[in-house]
Order: sequence, then structure tokens, then C-alpha cells
Amino acid sequence: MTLKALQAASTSRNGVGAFILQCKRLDFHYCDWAGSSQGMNLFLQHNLARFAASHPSIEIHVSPRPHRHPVIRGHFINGTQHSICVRNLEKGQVLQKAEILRDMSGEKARKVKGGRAVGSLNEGTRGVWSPFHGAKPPSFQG
Amino acid sequence: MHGRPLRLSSFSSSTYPVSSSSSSRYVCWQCRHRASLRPSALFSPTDSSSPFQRRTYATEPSLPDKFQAYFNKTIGKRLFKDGKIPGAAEDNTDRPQSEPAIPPNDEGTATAPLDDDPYYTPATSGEELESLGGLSGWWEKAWDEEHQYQGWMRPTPMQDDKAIETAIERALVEWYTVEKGSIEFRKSVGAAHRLWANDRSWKMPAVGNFKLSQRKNGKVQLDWERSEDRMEMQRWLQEPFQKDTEAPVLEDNRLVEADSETAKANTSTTAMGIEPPEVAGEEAAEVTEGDSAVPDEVLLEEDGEIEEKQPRIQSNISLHNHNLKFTVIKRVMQLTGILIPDTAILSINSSHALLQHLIQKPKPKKLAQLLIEGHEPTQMNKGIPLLAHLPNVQILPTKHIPSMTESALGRQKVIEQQLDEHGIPVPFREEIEQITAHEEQRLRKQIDAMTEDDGVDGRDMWSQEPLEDLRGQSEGLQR
Repeated sequence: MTLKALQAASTSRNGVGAFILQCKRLDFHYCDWAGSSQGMNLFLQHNLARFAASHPSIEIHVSPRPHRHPVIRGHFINGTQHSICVRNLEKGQVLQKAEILRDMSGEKARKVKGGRAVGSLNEGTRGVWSPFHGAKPPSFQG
Repeated sequence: MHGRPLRLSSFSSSTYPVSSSSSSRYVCWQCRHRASLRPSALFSPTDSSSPFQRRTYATEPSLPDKFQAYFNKTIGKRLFKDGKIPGAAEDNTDRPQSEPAIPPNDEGTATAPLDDDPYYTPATSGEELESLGGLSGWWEKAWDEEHQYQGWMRPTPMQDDKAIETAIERALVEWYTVEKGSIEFRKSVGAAHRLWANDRSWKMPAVGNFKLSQRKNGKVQLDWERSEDRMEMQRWLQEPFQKDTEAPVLEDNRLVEADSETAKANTSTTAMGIEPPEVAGEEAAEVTEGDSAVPDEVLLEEDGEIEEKQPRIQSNISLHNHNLKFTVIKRVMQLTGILIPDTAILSINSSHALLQHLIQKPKPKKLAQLLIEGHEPTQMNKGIPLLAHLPNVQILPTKHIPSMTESALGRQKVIEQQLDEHGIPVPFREEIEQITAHEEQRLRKQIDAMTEDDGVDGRDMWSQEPLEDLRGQSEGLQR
């Protein structure tokens, strides 16, 4: 009987070969009247041009949203959206929020199982514990 | 005074109303006595609203004015012995109280009853009825074609910077043509500010070539290319003040220079409202109205086409002379139709400052307008294209509506088609069309801007597409 190797489909690792930015679009909503939008307005005038030029793969939409707080809404490749309200922030802080959205994956925030910060798909190198292997507990024999 | 309070029922009803509904009301005898002495104290026994409410002539004119009757019989007779007592005609004490005063019928407005009119049919809807009243069409009715309103200023403000510069040149050359003229010429013209005070039209003939410059010593020099142009200007300036029998006083061909000091000395008496002593007592001719008196009138701005000429003002003319400043500013306002506020006049001290104030565009009120038009890049954005010029940026002037998402996905036209078939109006149709047209224009500009450059190896630097294909896309959009 001939042996056949298991056909394993290649799993995608974003960044191993090529990196694809997960954020595909950013919407900037501002207000001409509200005072909470002052920082956002200054960001649009002074900082957004450089941010948009340095990220040509991100679609930038700027539109007014009258009588509302300023908002940055990010659209991601997996179809999700995430909004960050930037009311009463300075233009530098608005830029930080835009960078946070740019760096996001679009995945929903999930609780890490096991309480561990780092997870791996690989098996443990020392194997799974069993009661039949390992040091025996001490016996109290008088 | 502090005696036992008296009951209300102990008094007669003719002097004080008694409310049988409540027996707890108490009024002291002093108030009751005072009330009983009032001559106009009338009350209705049936008035149950309040026992203190009195119905008088002042509130109900149908009631007889007892005070007037009392006045006529006693005091009025003593004061007005001739018998003409004011208000005596209003004495209506003889009139029975039950008859109210009805005004006489206005016979002028009497109309025939509608039932007798054979041509009358009641209207079923309000669409065919003519509207009455309101101010719509008032302007057209008030000013007929023969008597059209002609304002002092240009009706619409100028937009072209070249035309505004020409208007400033015109105002300055008119002033200095008068100031550099001889005494006789200035006599015939009068004070410069009267030339275009109120009755002169803002339309004016074309001006020939001239050069106006100010030297370092403050002297202003006016050079005409042709003497005919200078004479034509002088004739135009004299026309409103010229009598029929007198010939125009024109200058000869000699060049006239005027020192700033002499100009000040001559203009010191030509301040607003003050005439120079030479022309004191002279009666200026009536100013002609309308434009018919001035031949060959040419609008300063002909369909927005201004020939680019050499600037006729060679240097920055000082406007520190108050008479010159206010005269020129007034004339420029008349020619351009742009109002210059008083706060700006203080800071305008030269012809360049005046020009800069007039051609500067107002700050955009909306941020979208500022972003679309673009502004000067800051220090940190040097070398970066403007936000509106970036290919991955879309700036919307209006609030985002769901129809915009549908139109971006391509479903909007299907939706509109179905709505039109069912006769349902499409919401926000005009806004979407406006934004779509704006986006098309933006893309066309981007493509044109990209295709202007040669790119790299005949390919666009951004998309690596052949430039010929991109140019074809631009042409497709134009169709």
C-alpha cells in the first residue's frame, strides 16, 4: 500500500509573505458649528493630507455631520465597522485615533481563553500531562 | 373704627352689589361709603363674576356715560359759557341702554348679491382663483420699462480681478486729471468729488492708455499716450457741469506735473462739502440723468473679457491725502459695486492696499468648501498635494445620506427606475445628481492632472496604467 502524504492546505499568515492592510476605508465626520469638532476640523485641514498620502490603499471620505460629535468610522476587509468618537480632542489626538483604526484587524474583541495573552496553534513540546507519567507523589509509609 | 363689622345685607342693593352666592365676603364701611360716592359706579345686579366689577362707559360704550352728563350739567356749563362743551355730543344718556351703537353701513362697498349674477359659478378648487394681496411682483409693477430703476452703484459686484484693477485706475486717473489741470479747467469742473456724487452713472467710456506713477519725493506723474485721450477724459469730466453755450475748457498738449504739496494746498479747500473760493458762487449746470447723455458708453466689463494690458499704475500711489482717499474709494465703490466698510478704509492707504482688499476672496464659511478649494499648505505639508487632489480622498459637501451608498454600489439607478415606473418621487434626487456631477468633475481633473505629466515610461506613477488609456477615460467622462 502506497503511502500518501497528508494534503494540508496552506494557512494564510498575513505578514509572512505579503502584508495586507485590513482597514480599507476611513470616514471622517465633522461639524461646522459644534465646538467639540474643533480639533477634528484642524486635523482635516492640517494633518489629513499627509495621512492620506502615506496610505494610498485606504479610502478616505470626509463629510459633514451637522450638530453631532465628530466621529471616525473605519471599514475593514472582513466587513466589520468600528467607530471612534473624537469629541473635544486635539488634532494630534485625532491622528492617534486614526492610526488606531488603521492598525486594527477588524476582528471583534474577544475574551482570551485560559487567561493567556499568547496563544499558539502548535502542540506543546513537552506533551499533554497524564497521571501515568511523571514523578510519583510521595507516600507516607511509616 | 374697630367696631362691630356690619353685615352686607344691611345696606341697600342700589349702592353695593350683594353676592348671594357667598356670605363670607366682608367689606369695611369706609370702602363701601367711598364706592357709593362714585358718580360712574354702575353695576349689574346680575353680574356674578365679582361684586366689585363695575360696568362703565369706558369698558362698554353702549352704556350711558353718566359722568359726561354730570359734567355737562355742572362743571361744563361754568367753564364753557358759550355752550360748546367738548364731548357733549357723546352724551348718550338719553339713549336707551338696550340699543347698542351700530356703525352705519358703508354704502361704498356694497356689492350685488351673488345669487343675482348670471355669470357667477362657485369655484370648486382654489387653483383658478386669482390671488390678491402680497408683495410678489411689486418691483415689476412699481418700475415699468420706461422708468427702470438705476442705482448709483453697479447692481452686481465685480468678480474679475482685472476689472477691479481697471476701476481703481479709472478712479485715480479721473482724480489726477482734475488735480493736474489748470485753474480754469478746475473751475469748469468744480470740486472733484461732485463729478460722481449721486447722478453720475457707474457706466463709463473706455479710457486710453496712460501711465500713473509716484516718485520717491511724493510727486505723482500722469502721462497720456495720446493727447486725444486726455482731452476726451477732460470732456467727459466737464460734461455734467457744462452749459450748452459754453465750449469745453481743455488742456493743451503740455505735460502737467503736480507736487504733492501743491496738490494738498489745492485740495485742502475741496474737502467734502466745501467748494474752493474760485468756484464759490458759480452755479453748476444740471447733471444729466441716465446714460443717454454720454455717447459711446462701454461697460467696464464686457462679458467678462478684459484684455490683459500692461498695468497703467506703475507704482504704489499713496492715499494718505484724505480727500483723494475718500474720493477714490467712493468712485471705486460706484464702479465695482463692492461696498468697502469703514473699518477697512482706515487701513487702506495706498492703491495696492485698496486692490488687495477688493480682490481678496471671502473666507469660506464651510469647512467642506475650504477643503475642496484648497488652501496654502502649511510647513508640515510642503511637498504633499492638496487633500482634494489626492486620488484616495473624497470630500462631500453635504451630509451623507443612504442614497449615496446605493449610488456608490450602483443600485441607485435601479431603485430610481422602479420608483419612476410606480410614479413615486425619488428622494434626494437633486443632491445625488449634484454630488455625482461633482465627483465626475473631480475625477476628470485628477485624470487631467495625472496625464499632464509624462509619468514613468509612459505609465502613471500611481496606477501604472498607460497614460493613453487614462486620457481616454477622461474623454469618456466628458461625453
